[in-house]
Amino acid sequence: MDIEQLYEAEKRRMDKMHLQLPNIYKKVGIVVFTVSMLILLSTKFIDGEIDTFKMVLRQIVIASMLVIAISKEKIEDEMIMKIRHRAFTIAFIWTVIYVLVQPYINYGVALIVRPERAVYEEFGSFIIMWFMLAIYLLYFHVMKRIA
Amino acid sequence: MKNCLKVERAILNLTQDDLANRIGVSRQTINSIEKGRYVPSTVLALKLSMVFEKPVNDFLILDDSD
Repeated sequence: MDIEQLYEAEKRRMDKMHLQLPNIYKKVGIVVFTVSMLILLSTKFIDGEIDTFKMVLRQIVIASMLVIAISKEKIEDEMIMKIRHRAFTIAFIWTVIYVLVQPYINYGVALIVRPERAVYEEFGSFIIMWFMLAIYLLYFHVMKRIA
Repeated sequence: MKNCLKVERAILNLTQDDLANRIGVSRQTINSIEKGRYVPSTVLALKLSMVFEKPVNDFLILDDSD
């Protein structure tokens, strides 16, 4: 197999690859996200060693947001695909900016408010993924409404 | 890009929904094309051409900004 055939085979494989779920999964994702997010928020008021429980809840939140993000619309046409691509691009760019800039802002604010406790901290993977998916879903929803 | 989809649709007495169903897109997409907010792909333009039985140039017109 020469390089041309390899390229063609890879292109065909990419064309066939649809990383999308049926529309029904969107509702499932919304329900799971809402429930897990509410439980996660309520854990703020619970005392005790529940770190593992919180970690699992965070993973469920991210997984449900991903399910919402990759679920098809009722009519998944080319305009929706274009909005999706734009939303993914915007979410990616904003996440990179957020990850680079926000820790300095947090550190700066902490220096002003509580200088004795000011520490430079980078974000964990949960916050980064949550932010990216939230920006994607928000932008996609708004763009779909105004299109 | 300017277009006269609305006129062509009126000639055939089609609603946005009818046209959308015929070419396999959402009504919102037809509305966005008519309002000039979305420029259809070549495939979609050719599908519209088949419905209207006219060349693409007759209902999609390039303007100075293109």
